[in-house]
Amino acid sequence: MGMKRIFLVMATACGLVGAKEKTSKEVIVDFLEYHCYDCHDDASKKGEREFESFKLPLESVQDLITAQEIIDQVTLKEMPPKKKEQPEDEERLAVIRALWEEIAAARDRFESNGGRTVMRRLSNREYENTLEVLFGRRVDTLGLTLDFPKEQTSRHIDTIGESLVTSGFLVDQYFQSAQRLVEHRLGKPEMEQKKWHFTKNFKQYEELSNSHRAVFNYEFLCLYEQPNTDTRQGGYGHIEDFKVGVPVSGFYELEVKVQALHRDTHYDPKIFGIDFSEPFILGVVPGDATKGHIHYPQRIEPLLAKAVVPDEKPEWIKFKVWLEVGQTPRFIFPNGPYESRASVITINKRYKDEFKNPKDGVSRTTLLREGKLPHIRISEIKVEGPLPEKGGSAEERAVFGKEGFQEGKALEQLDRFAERAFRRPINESDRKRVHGFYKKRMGEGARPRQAALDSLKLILCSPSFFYLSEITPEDDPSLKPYDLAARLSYALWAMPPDEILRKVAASGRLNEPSVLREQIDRLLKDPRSEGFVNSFLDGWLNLRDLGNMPPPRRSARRYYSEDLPSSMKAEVRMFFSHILHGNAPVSELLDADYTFVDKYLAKHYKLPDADRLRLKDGFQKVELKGKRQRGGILGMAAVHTVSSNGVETSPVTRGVFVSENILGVIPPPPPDEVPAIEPDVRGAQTRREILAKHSNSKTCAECHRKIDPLGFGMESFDPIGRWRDKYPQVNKKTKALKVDSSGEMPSGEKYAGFEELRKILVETRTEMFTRHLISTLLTHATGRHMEAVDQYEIQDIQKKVKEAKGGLRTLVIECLVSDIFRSR
Amino acid sequence: MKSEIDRRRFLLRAAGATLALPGLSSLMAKTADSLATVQTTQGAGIGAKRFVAVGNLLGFQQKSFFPQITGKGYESTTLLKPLEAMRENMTVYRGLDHGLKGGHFAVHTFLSGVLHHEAKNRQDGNVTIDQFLAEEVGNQTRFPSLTVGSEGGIHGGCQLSWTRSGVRVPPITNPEELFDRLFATDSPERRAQRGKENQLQKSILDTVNDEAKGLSKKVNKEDREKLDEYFTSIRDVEKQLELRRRWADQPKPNAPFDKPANANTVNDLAMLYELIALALQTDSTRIATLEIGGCFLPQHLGIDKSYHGLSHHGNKEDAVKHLIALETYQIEHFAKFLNRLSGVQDGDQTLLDSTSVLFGSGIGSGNSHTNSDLPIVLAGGGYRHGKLKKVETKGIKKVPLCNLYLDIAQRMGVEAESFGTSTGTYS
Repeated sequence: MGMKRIFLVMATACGLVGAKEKTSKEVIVDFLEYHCYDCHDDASKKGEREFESFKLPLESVQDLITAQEIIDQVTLKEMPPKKKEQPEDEERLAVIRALWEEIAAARDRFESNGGRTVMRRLSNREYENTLEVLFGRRVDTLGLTLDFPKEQTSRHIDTIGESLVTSGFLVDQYFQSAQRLVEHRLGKPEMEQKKWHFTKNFKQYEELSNSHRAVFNYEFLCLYEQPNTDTRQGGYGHIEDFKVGVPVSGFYELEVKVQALHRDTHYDPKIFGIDFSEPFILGVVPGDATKGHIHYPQRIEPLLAKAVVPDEKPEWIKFKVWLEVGQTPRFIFPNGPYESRASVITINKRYKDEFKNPKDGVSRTTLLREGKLPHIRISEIKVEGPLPEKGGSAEERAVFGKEGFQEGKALEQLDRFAERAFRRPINESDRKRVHGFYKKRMGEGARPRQAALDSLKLILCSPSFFYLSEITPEDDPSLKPYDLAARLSYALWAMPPDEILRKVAASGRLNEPSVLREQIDRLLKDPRSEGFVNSFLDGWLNLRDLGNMPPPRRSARRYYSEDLPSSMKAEVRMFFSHILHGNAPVSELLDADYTFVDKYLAKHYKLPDADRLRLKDGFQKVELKGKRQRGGILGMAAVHTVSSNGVETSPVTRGVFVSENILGVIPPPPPDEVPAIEPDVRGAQTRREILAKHSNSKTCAECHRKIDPLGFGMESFDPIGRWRDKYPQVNKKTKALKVDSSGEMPSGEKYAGFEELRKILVETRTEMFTRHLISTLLTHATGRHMEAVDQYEIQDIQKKVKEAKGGLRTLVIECLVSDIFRSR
Repeated sequence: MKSEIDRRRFLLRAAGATLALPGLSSLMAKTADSLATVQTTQGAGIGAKRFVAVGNLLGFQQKSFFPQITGKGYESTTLLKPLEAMRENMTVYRGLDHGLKGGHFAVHTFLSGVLHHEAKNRQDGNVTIDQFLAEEVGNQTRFPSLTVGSEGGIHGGCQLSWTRSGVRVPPITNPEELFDRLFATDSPERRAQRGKENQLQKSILDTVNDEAKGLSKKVNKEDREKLDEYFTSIRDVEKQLELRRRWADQPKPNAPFDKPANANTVNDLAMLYELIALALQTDSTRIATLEIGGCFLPQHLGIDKSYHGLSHHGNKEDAVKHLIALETYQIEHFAKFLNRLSGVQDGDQTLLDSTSVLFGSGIGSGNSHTNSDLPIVLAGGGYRHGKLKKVETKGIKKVPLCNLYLDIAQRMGVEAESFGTSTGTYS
C-alpha cells in the first residue's frame, strides 16, 4: 500500500508539471488514486465500494452508477471522510466537472436501452377514481376496495408496475366490486318516493339506555361526544325504527329538528377538551346495521353532509344525502366532547354539591335531569326519498348516454362504455367478446337490461380496464396518443382522460409538442389536478401513512379531538399547490415565510392567528412572523408525525427521511446484528447522547455521520410536530432533559438549530433536491423507478427549468414533455 | 329428529363443560355419529388432523424465554411460566431457524424458510406451511385455511402466510369479520342469488382469460410475466369459485354468541383465539394462522412506548421489563388457547391432540434483529411432548426449521418429501 501511494503521488506530481492540461479521465483517475484507493481498492472495499474496476470511458451501467455516486459523495463532502486529507474545493469541483463530462460523453451508449414501464394495473386509489368517473357519482359510499389486498408500494409510491401485484384475491374482488357497483347503481328497482317521520323511540347506545328511558322516555336522540373515542358513549345517533335503512340507493332528504344544548356550560371546559367558542356541528354518515354495531365506527363511513346546530331553540335543518340500499343515516358530532364517559364521571364528582341527589360513578341520569352537559339533541327526523334526478340517474347517463339504456342500441352503448373504460378505441376482438357475452346472457334468459349490466361487469373485470394496457407497438419507443393521454391524465388527475383529452388523442396530434403542452396546461389548471397533488405527496413524503402511528391518547388529546392528521395533510397539500400554481421556485418548498393553517393547526403551531381564525374560515394563508420554523415542508407537522412513531422521535429515522425524500440519497440499511439505537427509558440520557456513544463505533459512524445531522435539527419537533425545548419527563423523579438540536454536517457546516439546518439545505442542497424532485415526479408519473441512464434526461430537465428561471410548475411541465414520460 | 337431538346430547356430554355451545353446528352434531353420511363427503372433522400457527413480529426475549436445562426437566422461565400447565402437551425447541438474515425483511419467512424475492427461482415459491397443508387438506372444509391478524407493521409486518404463486394471503384483521365468515348465514334468497353470481363470475373469468391470451401474444417478456401473474390469479379464483359452489348449500354452524365488537388487536386477541378455536371445533377449517403484528400497540396495555422502539432494548432494564409484559400477554393468551383446545373432546382424544399448534416468531433476537435461534413451541398434534429439545446451531448437525414443518405435514398425511429448505424430518 505504502509503495503504491508513493508511486501515485509521483505520478500526480509529474502530471502537474506537464504543460498540457489533463484530460477529464486523468483528473478522475488521479483523484481516485490519491483520495479514494486507500479504502476503496479491490482488497479493502470499504462500504462495499471499490474503484479499481471502475473504468473510463464509462461503458457499463454499473460504472455509470458509480460515477454518479462519486459525484454525490464529493459534492456533499461526505467523502473523503473528515479524518483523511481533504481535497481543495477547486480539486473537488474539477473532479465533479470531469465526471459529468465523462457521463455526458457516454450518453449515446446508454440512451438506447433506457428503462421501460412494466405493464401496470391501476392502483386501488386510481381504480376507485376511475369508477367514480365512469359512473358519474361518488363511490366511497360502497367501500369497493375495502376488501382488496393491501397495496404494495415501492419507496412509498403506489404506481410502480412491478409492485402492483395481481393476485387471485384481487381478481376475485374485481368481480365482487363490479357486481356491487353495477347492481346498486343501475340494477335497482323503480321505487316510488316515500316519506318517513320519526318522533320517538330514539334508542341509544346500551349504556345510555337507562338514563334516556328514565329522563326522556326515548323522545330525544342525543349526541354526547365525537365519534371514534375509546370508550364509545353516544358518538353515533341512529334511528331505531329505521335500522333496515333505505329501500334503494339514491338521494334522500333528511330533515332534522335539532338544538345544541349547554354550549355555555359552567363546567370546566378542560373536562371536555373542546373549544366551546365554536358552534356545534352535526354530521351525517351512513351506517348498516347488518354489517357492524350501529353505535360504533363502521368501515364505510364517508361524511355525507354537515351543518351548524343552533343554540337558542330547536330548528329544522335539511340535508340531501346519498345512501346505498340498506344504509341508514347516522348522526355524529365531529367537534363534540372528547370521551363522554370520563367527563360524566368527573362532573359527577366535581360538581357534586349542585345535584339534589348526587351519585358516584357514571350517573348520566342525574346530569341529564339537573345538569348542564353540553350535547346535541335531536327531537324529530323526517326522511324522504329516493329523490328523482332530472334526466334520469347520473349513472344511467354516464354509462349509457343521455337517453339511458336503449334495448335497440344496447351493443352500441356497451361499445361506447368499453371505449371509455379501456381508454382507447375498441377493436374487433373487444367487440366480439363484449357482444358475444351480451348475447350469451340473453340466451341464458336474461332480460336485455340485465344482460347489458352483466356485460358492464365483464368490462370492469377485463384486463384492458384494470391494466394501463398501452397499445403502443412493442418496437415503438414513444407512446401513441391514446396511451399518452391515459398516462397524462392518471399523472395529473389520477383519473382517466376526459372527453377533450380523448378527442385530442383521437386526432392523433397529442404527440406534437405544442398540443401536448396545451393539454398539460389545461389539466394542471383544472381543479382535478388536486389528484396529482394528493397522490404525489402521499408517495413522495409518505403522507399516505400519516396517522398510522398514533400517539397515546393521554398525551395528545387534540390529535384526536381535532382530527389533526387531516389538517396536517391539508397544510402540505395547499402549500405544494400554491407553489405549483404560482410557479414559485422549488427552493420555496424547503423554506417559505408563509404557510396554510386552519384554526386547529394555528393552535398546534401556537401562531397568533389561532385567536383570529374561526373553524368556518377553513384554511388560510398566513405570514410566519416570529414562527419561521414552520416555513417549508420540513417545518410542517405532517412531516414530523410521519417520520416518528407517535411515541418518540429519533434523529436517525428523521435523518433517513430527509436523506431519502429531500436529497434522494437512500442510506444503506443497517448491517445485520448491529443493535439499533434507542432512547434511554430511564431518562438519564437523551437519545443524542446515546447516539454519540455509538458514533464511536467505526462501522456505525460510517453511515450515521451522514444520516444523523439531517435529523438532529428536527429534534425540536415532538412526535406530532409540536415545538419543544425539553423532552417529556420519563417519570416524576427524573428531570426533563433539554433538547439539543444542533449538528454538524459531514461537509463541515455547523448549525445551531432547525432554522440553520434548513438554511444549509437551501443554500447548498437545492440542486440535489431539485434533481430528486424531478426523479420522484417521473417515477410517480411513469410507474417505474428512475435508473442510472435516466439521469441524462433528468439533468436536461433540470437545466431547462433553470434556464427558463422556472419554478415548480415549469418543472412539472418539463417532466411531462420529456422523453422519459413519453416512452413506454 | 329425536335421534338428532340425542346425538347432540351425546356430543355435549362427551365434550364436557368447555363445549358450552348451544346450537353448535348441526354438522358437528351429526358428525359425532360415525355413520353420518356427511363424514365421508365433507369431512366430518372428528379426529382429523389440524394445524395452527401463531407468529409475532418482534420475537421474544431469548433470555427470558429459553430454559437452560434441556430435556424433560427444563426449568420454567419467565416467559414460559404461563404455559406451565401445558408442559406435557408441548415441546420447546432451541436452535431452530432458517439460516436466513435480513431482520424485519426476513420475518415473513417464518413459515416458509424462503425469502419472497427469491421465490421466483423455486418451484414451490415461498409457499408457507399453512398454505402448503391447505392445498392438501383444505378441500375438506369450507375454508381451506383461515389467515387472521395484523395486516401491517414495520417493513410490511409479519406477512405470515404466502401462496405458492408468491402472493401474500391477506389476513382477516378483526373479530367482527372473522365472526361473519364463520357464522353469518345468508337468507335462502341471498344464497340463490350468490349461486347465480358465482356462475356469472365463472363465465366472466372464461371470457377475460381469452382476452388476456390475446394480449400475451403481443407483449414483451416483462409484461408476459405480469400476464402470467394474471393467469395464475384467474386459476386461483376458479378454484375459489368451485369451493364456494360446493359449500353454498351447506349451512354454517350456529353462532354460540352474538357478534363481538372490534376494539383493538391487544384487547381483541382473546376473541380472535376463541374464534379460531371455534373454527376448528366446528370443522369450518383445519388450518389457521394468527399474526400478531403492527396493530399490537403497547399503549393498549398501558405502555406508552413504540413496540419496535422497545425491541431494540439495548439490554436496558426498563425496556426489557416492558417487552416482557407485552410478550407475557401474548403467551398467556396462547396458553389459554391451548387450554381451550385441550378441553374439547374430538372423538377419542382432545381437539389439542388432533391439532399441531406452532408458536413463535421469524425474529430471534429483537434487540439485534437476527433471524436465527428462533423461539419455537410446538403443542398438541399427537406428538410426544414435555421436553426442551436443543439442536446444533452450526455445522452439519444443524437442523433447518423446515424439517419440523415437513414432519408436521407428513403427520397430517401429506405425502411430501420436502418442504422449503428441509433436509429431512425432525420433531
